[in-house]
Amino acid sequence: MGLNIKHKVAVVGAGMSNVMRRAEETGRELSFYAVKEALKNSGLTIEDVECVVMATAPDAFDGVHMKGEYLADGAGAFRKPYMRSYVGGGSGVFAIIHGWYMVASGMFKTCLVVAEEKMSSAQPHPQAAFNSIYDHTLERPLGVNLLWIFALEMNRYMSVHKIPLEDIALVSVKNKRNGLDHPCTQVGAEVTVKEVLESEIMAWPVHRLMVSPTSDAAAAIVIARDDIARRVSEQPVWIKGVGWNLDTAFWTNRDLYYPDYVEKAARMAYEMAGITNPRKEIHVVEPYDPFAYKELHHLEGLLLADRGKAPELLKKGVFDRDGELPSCPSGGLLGVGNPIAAAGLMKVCEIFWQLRGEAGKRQVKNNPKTGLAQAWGDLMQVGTVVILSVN
Amino acid sequence: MSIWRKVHVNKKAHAWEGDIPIYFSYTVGPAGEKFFTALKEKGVFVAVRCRQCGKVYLPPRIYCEVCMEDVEEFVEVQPEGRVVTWTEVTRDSRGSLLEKPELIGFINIYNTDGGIIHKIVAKDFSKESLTGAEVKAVLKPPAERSGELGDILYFELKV
Repeated sequence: MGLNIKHKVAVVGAGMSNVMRRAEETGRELSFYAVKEALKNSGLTIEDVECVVMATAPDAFDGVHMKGEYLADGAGAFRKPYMRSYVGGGSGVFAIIHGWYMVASGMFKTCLVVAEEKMSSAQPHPQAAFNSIYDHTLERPLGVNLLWIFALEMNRYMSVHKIPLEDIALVSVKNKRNGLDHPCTQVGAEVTVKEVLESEIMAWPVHRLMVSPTSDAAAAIVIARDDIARRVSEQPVWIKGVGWNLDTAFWTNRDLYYPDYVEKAARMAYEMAGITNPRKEIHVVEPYDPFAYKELHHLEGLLLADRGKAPELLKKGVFDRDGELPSCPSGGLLGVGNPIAAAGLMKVCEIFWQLRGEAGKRQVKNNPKTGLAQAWGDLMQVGTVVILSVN
Repeated sequence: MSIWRKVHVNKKAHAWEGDIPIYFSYTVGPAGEKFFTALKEKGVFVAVRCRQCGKVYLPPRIYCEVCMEDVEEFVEVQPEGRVVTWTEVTRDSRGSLLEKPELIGFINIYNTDGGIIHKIVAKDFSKESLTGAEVKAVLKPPAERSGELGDILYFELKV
């Protein structure tokens, strides 16, 4: 990897809409709320924004083909250079990478990055749209849905490492509790391991309380070149490293117990950020947690825990807000909600707020300087990583 | 040769027929609610004015796409305007011939910077004079309106 990057780039503003099951607002309007909030605390105005990147997942959720174009005006892209960024569930973090590229390349001085999803338009349930992301002749005839794909991967992860269900249920307990402190939450709750394990088994070993909901929301960040960032912001949050990677879409051709592609994406980002010991140098992390086991799976892929050992660290409290490596302090997808593309950018927003000490009741206790956000998606095979730092 | 194999007859290819089994329920949003409620109950259109740049949006929305600010100055306007451009269509979207050709126009609504695309019914129109012609909406009777685009039956030439 040749690192001949022209400009340092920082995030100077972040904002998001409420996360909810069924918003009255259209996707454009949700995008507007997020953009308005992000601009408000960025020191920049819409006139200063030179280009816009929009992340939004399958068109079939909102039910609008060419959804990127449809959302453009709500995303502040009126008569500006605009590009859609899209790798399914990984899109939210892919979008900041895309925005970074726009500015780091020297092409633009500023970039507004927006992510939106309105899943409630899809009826009777977005699962019908998920069905059609799988292979049309080999998998779809079985009536495949996301739950049982995750169930197969979760079972493999548990079997290989002999992880008990109780340990995985702890992720739901932690994240739903964290979510209670998030002002935008849809599903924050105080639940016990017992309640998680007594919730409906949707596809063994996936229980209902181990699954994130379908959601409507938007998130946005404002990115600026170093000279601008220093001028408009008292505390720019620098984009230190980015990484992304895709595995084969034939998920029958790989072992599901470990996300190699997440590791590759993480290594790319660590190398760029000059991080050699991520467990010491990353102080707060927002790994993608659409299902409870995924947070653990991803912490291992990110090299923040040994393979199969993330559950033990979780039990010891390492990943709590007052632990050594707080993980999903926002509440994540299980504790806030899962508006697919917006969920990834929501994690970037959380790292931004945590590093600036602006996370309020969610603020972690270890005075973090460097944090990492990760998203995951496509056909269970994309990993997107960003490392942010106030140093 | 750069094209080394091509299936010329689709029927010979083994295929699995599939569809995407989904339908949609679209909310119209807070501004859309105002527009369709006024259409249903009062037979008028609702537009919204941006205080900052003065642009009047129809259909209304809750933000100005230029200023990225909230817009809240909703105004009622009569469903009348001028034809900006038009076409006469002869086939439907599946390619079948229509029983009779239909006029479709983009109508700028008076006192707004926006407009609406809808059917125009005009007997004896001339191709030269339809662009720029004054038209007004013909609505369903109030009791039959349900707050949707179909409450507008068509636009007709103003006499």
